[in-house]
Amino acid sequence: MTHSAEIITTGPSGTILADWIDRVGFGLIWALAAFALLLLIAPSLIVVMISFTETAYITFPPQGFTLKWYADLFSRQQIIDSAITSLRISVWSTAIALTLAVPAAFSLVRGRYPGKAFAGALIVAPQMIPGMVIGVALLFFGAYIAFRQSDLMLILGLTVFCLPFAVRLVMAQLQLLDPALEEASLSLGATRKRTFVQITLRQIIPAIVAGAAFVFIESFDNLTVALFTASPRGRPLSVELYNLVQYDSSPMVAALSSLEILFAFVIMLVLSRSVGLERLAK
Amino acid sequence: MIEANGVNKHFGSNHVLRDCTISVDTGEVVTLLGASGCGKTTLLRCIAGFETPDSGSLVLANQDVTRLPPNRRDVGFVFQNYALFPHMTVAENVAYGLKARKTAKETIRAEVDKVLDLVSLTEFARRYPKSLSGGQQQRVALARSLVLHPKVLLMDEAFNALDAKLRGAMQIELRKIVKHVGITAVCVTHDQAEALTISDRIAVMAEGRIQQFAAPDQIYDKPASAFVADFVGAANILPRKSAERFKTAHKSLNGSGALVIRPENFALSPSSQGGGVKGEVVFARLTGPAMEYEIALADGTILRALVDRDRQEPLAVGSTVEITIRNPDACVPLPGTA
Amino acid sequence: MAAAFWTRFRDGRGIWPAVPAFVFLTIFFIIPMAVLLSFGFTEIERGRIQDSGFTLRYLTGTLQDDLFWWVWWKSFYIGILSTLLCFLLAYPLAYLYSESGRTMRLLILVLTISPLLTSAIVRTYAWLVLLGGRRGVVNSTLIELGVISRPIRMLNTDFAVIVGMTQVHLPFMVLPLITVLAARDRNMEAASLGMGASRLATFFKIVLPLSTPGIVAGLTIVFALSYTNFIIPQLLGGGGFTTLAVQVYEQIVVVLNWSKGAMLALLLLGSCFVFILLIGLAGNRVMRWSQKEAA
Repeated sequence: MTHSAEIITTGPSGTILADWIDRVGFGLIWALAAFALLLLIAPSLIVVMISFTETAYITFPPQGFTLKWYADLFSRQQIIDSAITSLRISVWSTAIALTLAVPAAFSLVRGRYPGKAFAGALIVAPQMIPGMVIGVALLFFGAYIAFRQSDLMLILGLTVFCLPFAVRLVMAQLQLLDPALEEASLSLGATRKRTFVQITLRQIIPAIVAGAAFVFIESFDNLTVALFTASPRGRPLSVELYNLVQYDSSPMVAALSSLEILFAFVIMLVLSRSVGLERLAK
Repeated sequence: MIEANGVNKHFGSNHVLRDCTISVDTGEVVTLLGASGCGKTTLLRCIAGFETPDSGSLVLANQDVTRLPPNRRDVGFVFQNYALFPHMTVAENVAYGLKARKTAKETIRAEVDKVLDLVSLTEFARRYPKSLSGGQQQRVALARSLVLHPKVLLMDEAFNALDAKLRGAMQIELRKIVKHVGITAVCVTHDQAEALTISDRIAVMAEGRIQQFAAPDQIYDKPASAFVADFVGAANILPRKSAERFKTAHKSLNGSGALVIRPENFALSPSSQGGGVKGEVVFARLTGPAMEYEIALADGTILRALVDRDRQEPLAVGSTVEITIRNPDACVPLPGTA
Repeated sequence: MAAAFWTRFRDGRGIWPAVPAFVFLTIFFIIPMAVLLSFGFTEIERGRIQDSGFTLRYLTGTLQDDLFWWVWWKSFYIGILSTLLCFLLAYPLAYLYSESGRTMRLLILVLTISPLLTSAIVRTYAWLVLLGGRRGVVNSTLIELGVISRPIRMLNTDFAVIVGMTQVHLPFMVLPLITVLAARDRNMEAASLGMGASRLATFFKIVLPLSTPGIVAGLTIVFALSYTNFIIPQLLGGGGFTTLAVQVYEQIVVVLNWSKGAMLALLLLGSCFVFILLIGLAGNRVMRWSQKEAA
């Protein structure tokens, strides 16, 4: 009797104040969430808007509308050259990283041998090291063997830096793969080769695509490795942009940044089509 | 059609299959029945070629296949979760094996249509497996194997993923299809009702050994061991001393160590008319057409009894009853103690 | 041989398919890291080995330098502060994600992942625009609103660096939190509410502690990124601003004192690992219920 009375009395008396605190507290939580969302998108939006300003300096809100900064951008040979350099470097590091990553992921997921855990740790180790340290280490190593800063050194550095991402993406997909699918294929009379191509490889293609996109984007954008390993002549776009941001205050830099944002958006569309964003979040 | 001779298999230090010998006739449906970890799935995977026995031999249709890879045995396999290829439509899944055999396109189309009709999935040909119900997926898996006209169909817990009601219907459906096609089939299950429904013969397995291999009624009526008696259907396994208290049991006991008495073989009378063993009802449960009782004897033994409701009004918990054996011939003596 | 390799690769069994990656990493990662380590203990000037003998001069010299400790403290406090700010913003956002429907979830994911695909310079550049001088967006807005009459110096301050780092690293905090929060068992919250706890109490006593694995992951990643970032301090902190990571860059690229740079890089890396370890240990302490047996 007393027990049930207690429940009834504590219920409503606590309710009004508790409700009020609840509302304020959650109001605060939602406000922070909204601010975080704003913080994620606003800077990029502002950069894009500023790139259309008619003024010769950066100002917000932008005044007028012009595409002259984009035209200016494409008239600068140095920028175009460095963009091409970046593209070439990214293609190479993506190709090398995936060529190494896919077989390694197979071995790390399906192999049975002593020291497998250690092998896995070694392959994802570069992820624990900041890009700067990877770049510096490669630069110093080069000094030993008379190997200078160059496109090749940058490609190697970026490959080291990105390999763990690619390996982990493919490994995650392989772990999800139901081994019964391959057994089913074999029992239906398919050869091992056919099974590998049509079932195994086909199933991990999304991970390979996502891995390639990530490595490509990271290689294209990367500055921390590039500052130490890129050739002083023929700099990649990221290093070029780094200098522009520091020394050039014209809205042309905003135009260049806007193009990179657009580029990222396109890549994301491709990724969400091929893999799905929820999966990427992991 | 299938001969397994003295098959042994180890996983590490784990001896999973111990001298398994089994022979399946053409057109027969055989079930490997046992609890999880008894080796039934391993034996099936050995027949399919996914595992290679450490010793012993496997013969399919008079050909020794012990060392043959799965894609060179003429065997269809239906997986526990069906293993349908998620990136292919129903029709593509079914056509997969035919394509691997480089069959002509028109033949593939005709064969696929025919088998989809057999499992009544014609209108689902263009759908992807994910959009199908569990029962439909199972039929796709079946069709995918049957279209290749394998000599043998193997099924690994093929009804596990279905809900209880659908499972019963699919079991009957499956037995009809298999018998219609006339294929030899080996199924694996831990569900005795499923085994009784679909099989011509059942092999009860435990600890890597085949305990008994016989027709369903034989397994139920004449279990070879206490394990089989207990695993298939409910059973009271009375050690000699307890069994002797039933006067009529003496004849069937015949010097053996224990006696198996099925719950439905007990008759309970509420009044003491003499001749029976006294006990107290400690639990009563309605199972549908019958009442199931737990009855405590004076020595603490608990007996399980099943009484049709049209034979007797339900007894209340706490009431005293006299227990007699209805058909002494249906009691099965077992050697040794249970 | 080639056929054998192909078979092994296809079956994915054995170590062979991973060997090319091992060889690559050994040559271009392990050996260079060893060289870096050795450079911290030898005399190297302008890329040339002066005296190949082993020396502890750079280690002791650095550790005895008051300036080093001052710089270290600055790196540490900037890193910690921006990590905590990141958490304060990311957690509500991840929670919002877990409580939202399809459309809102997609929006949050797009907004979280797209910055990851844009370069850090572009995102830092946005802050130059926002905080920069008289024409900076923040200042001009505040002046227009009449909050302030003269522009406040925002760029080239600790504030600018912390804000920039927080924003740039926000996605790295949000993603692990989303993973944990979206997969959580909501029955616990229902049970808590059913026992009479308020929604807020349920949030702090049930949701928050149970998401510890995601919190630890997020704090670890963001701290490591903030602590070792040298680009944001250089761009938003101005010329006089320095952190350990900035020092590494300057010693190696500008001063060309490679030995000192190598030593600083090693100290940066080592101290970073120590902090990450501490975060992990703290997480384990919070998560002691998840250990099977109490010690």
